[in-house]
Amino acid sequence: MSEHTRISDLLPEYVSGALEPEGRQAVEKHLAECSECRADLALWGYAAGVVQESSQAVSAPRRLADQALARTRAGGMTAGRKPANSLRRGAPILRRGALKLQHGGQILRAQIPLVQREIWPASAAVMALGYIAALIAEHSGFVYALAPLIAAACVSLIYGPENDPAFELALSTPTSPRQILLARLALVFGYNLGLVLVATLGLLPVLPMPVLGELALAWLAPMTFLSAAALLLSLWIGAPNAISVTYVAWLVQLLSGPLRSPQMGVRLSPAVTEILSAYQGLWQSPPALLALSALLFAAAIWLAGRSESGRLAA
Amino acid sequence: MDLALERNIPAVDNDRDLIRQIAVGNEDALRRLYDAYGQRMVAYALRITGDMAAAEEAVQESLVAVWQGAGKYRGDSRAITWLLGIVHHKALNQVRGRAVASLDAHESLANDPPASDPLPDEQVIAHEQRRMVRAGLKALSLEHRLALELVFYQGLSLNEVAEVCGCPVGTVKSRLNYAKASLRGALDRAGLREGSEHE
Repeated sequence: MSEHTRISDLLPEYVSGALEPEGRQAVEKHLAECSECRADLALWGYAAGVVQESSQAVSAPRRLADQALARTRAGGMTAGRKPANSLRRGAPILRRGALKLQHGGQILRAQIPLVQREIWPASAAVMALGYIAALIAEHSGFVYALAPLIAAACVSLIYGPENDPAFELALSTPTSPRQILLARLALVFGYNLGLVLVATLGLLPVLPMPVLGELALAWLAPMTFLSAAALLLSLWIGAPNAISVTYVAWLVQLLSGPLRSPQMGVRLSPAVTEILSAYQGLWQSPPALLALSALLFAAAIWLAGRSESGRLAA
Repeated sequence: MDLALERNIPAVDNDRDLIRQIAVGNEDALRRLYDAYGQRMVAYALRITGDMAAAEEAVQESLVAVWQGAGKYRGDSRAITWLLGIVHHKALNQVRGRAVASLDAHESLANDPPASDPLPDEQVIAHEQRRMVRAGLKALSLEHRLALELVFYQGLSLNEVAEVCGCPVGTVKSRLNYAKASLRGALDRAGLREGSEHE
């Protein structure tokens, strides 16, 4: 970013007085030599004047605070606590179900703009690269090697103060942290699942594909397990560390087969060979991976609600 | 030339204590918080809804949310950022499902009075520039006007604006740049922008 662009971005805060002294000095130094920024400064000055003039003319009725307090008393609301869930009282079962579904849909929709928006195009772009590589090499393994990596990276970025500018606000709404985490997990994991399915369907006409069970072995179970591990680790040690750990785990799995192969000429001690063999065996057992995934997801969701800070360490 | 504008925004040192008191049920603490920030909350809600009754309803709902959510406030954000984030959410709920008022209610509160006496040239130009900027602001979409309100009236940093609007800070910068280009275009078309002759 050029100095001109950097200073140009600071001008609104300079005009409003929100800038720190160092920022103010940098702006003033640049203004002395840039006529374009001086013109923009004048423009922002006019805009600020108009905005302030109109907002200052608004008056706040004193009664609003008293009326809000009267509402809290009438609703039996306790300070610092969420209201009792009206869905639990008296509503017929079908209507309750429909309302809960509607509420779930609202939570999902509300989370879409709050998930880091770079996640959507980035995962699609990486998956497209894997798809192209699979076509060129005539080997579907490229798609299936990438799928768990993309899913793990995305899932580790869905929750926590460093990943969400409105995190503190989100914690203060009646939606619980667990519901927020679940909704984002469903959105992001579902999206990545869709991407891999589309890539698989795209490969069907050109490459021989394994039967469904082998397909699950190739990517579905590892993708779910790596995502679950990434989510739990991101709550504990932060997203960058979670991504590093899960990537290393997956790369070791990918390399453990070739490393043990005699053609590679790598001499491993029997103990290391045995460990690598057991490690690879775990990744090739979908029931075990899916059971572990369920445990890890449950632990992450439980901890998100318990810590309410978004990070176990915080 | 220092164009930093003087604003009379109340400074409350013990916001966090006040919110802690609200969390344990102190009604007077909520009234004091409203005394300190109520005007800014109502002004922001009105900027979103364009209707005073809807703005008051949104602020009332926000105060109820503050009463219930005070226990979760950790003090990482300034109190005003936290409050405006809640107002943002509640006021958008008010306008959702109905057409946003085409006339910004703020405009009816602050129009330039007609010049009764002949003005010197500089004042005529300044008056005209203000009029064009006001017209340019009116033509902006809600999200662009909100970014300007949060920066220029509420005095928030760009990071705080991002927190209130629930978007990345890069989006806030884009919105401000778009607003600037739009206002610049309005002044250029009227031949009123300072420094426009250099480009």
